[in-house]
Amino acid sequence: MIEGGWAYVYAAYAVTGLALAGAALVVALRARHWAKQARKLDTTANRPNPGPASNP
Amino acid sequence: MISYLANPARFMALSAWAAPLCAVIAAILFAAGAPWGLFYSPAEQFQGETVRIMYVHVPAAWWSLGIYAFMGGASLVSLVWRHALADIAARAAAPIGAVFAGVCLVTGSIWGAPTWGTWWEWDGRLTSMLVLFVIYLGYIALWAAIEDEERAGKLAAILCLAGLINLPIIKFSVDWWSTLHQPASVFRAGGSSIAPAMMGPLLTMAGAYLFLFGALALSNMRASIQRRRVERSRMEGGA
Amino acid sequence: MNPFLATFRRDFALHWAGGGVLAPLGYFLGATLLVPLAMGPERTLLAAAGPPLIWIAAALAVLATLERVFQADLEDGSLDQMLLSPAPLEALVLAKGAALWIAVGVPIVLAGAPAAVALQAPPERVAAIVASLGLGLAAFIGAGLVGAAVTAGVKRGGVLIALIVVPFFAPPIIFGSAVASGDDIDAALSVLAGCALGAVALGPIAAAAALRLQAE
Repeated sequence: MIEGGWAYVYAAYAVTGLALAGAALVVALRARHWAKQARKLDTTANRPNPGPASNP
Repeated sequence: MISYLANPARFMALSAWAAPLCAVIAAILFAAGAPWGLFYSPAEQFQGETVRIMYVHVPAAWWSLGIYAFMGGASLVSLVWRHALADIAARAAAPIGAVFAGVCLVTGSIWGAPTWGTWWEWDGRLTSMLVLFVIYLGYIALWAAIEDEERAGKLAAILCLAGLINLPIIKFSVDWWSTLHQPASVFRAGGSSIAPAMMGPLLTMAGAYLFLFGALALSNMRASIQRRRVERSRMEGGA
Repeated sequence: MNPFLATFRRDFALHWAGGGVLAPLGYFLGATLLVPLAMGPERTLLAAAGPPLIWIAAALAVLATLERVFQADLEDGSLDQMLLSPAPLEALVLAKGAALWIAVGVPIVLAGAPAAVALQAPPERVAAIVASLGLGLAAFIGAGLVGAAVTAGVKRGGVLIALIVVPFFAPPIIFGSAVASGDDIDAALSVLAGCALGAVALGPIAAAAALRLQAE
């Protein structure tokens, strides 16, 4: 039987948490960015002349 | 059901509340499963406390395979029925599958340090997972390399299906190879001898990973659909 | 002339023209030469670990040829002609693969014999190693056609092909290396034959599907 080993356990949980939280953060930021762009499109779409596309 | 959801407007309406719902369920399951696995489940007879690594390692392994199977299904739908949403779904799932595979590899390596006395053992399961990780990278790189998204989606779907055929062959050959080179006397991670007391946290964490995947994949799909709309209107505006 | 034979001949000639076949062969021999330089010349060490490394050399040599298999067809318009041909595209892709196997694979298979001897494989095993290389290269090429076809439109796709194709190379390498190190040779050879058969049968189908998309 392996004695102790808590350091490995905590390391594994920390790595997992960081990786999953990092992935979730990236996905959330990307989703928010494009949701904002799409909303901007909806508000400008009804005007007669939207003009040149605005790049962020 | 697939054809019902294939309408992007209907998908956007549905996913607008499905994605946050999945995220909330995932958060609840993580909040329950992580402490359960860490503090309220028994240590194991041979592996001691390190068996707790299983609760983050094994679900990552399960779902990185499951996500690839999902991508294979989406690829088939994309090639046979030419649903644009299927391409978007496969693309949205791939990076999450890659992250899960990466988590599985790193936690497997951490588990290996006390169990095998080395940070990397060419164990059959870990090796298969490493190959799966490379397959994910290749799939993502192919999507990124081709500019025409329509074409990229179909080509990536072909690659994904070829990889799906290849996976069991890899599994078989790697298992054959690892029994050839070492007797199967090492600890088997997540073998058949999981005590009932360990099933609770394991299944809770598996559910947490699944709903996390659901939330992230749906958000990615929503972002892709919105991005395509924005880019198309920019192109029309510029023309 | 039969379109299958015409494609085979054209590709075969292209591979031989301008010493094109020498490059992968030289690559194979160069990689084999690097093994003892990296491991040290000690004969017992080489005999224990050297022969399977032939497979690394063979895989690298095939990888180096894959990028240009379809790239030229896409650029000079011969892909459109292939699509217009009465023969199915799958057959023409198979012809291209066969040409690659004969023009590039067979020289590597033949060079495999002296390479195996130089890496201290026992002489009685050399015949099995040569046979396994023939089968394994067919499996490499069958899978490689898919990788080459999906990346055909990508500029400088060589690295991308390598990344995509490596997982498909894993099974043949495993069984080929088992032959080279003398583990369960008969079983490994028959599995290799299965790999080669599967790759040659399915590879052209997937590659042709990808090429049809590339031409659209």
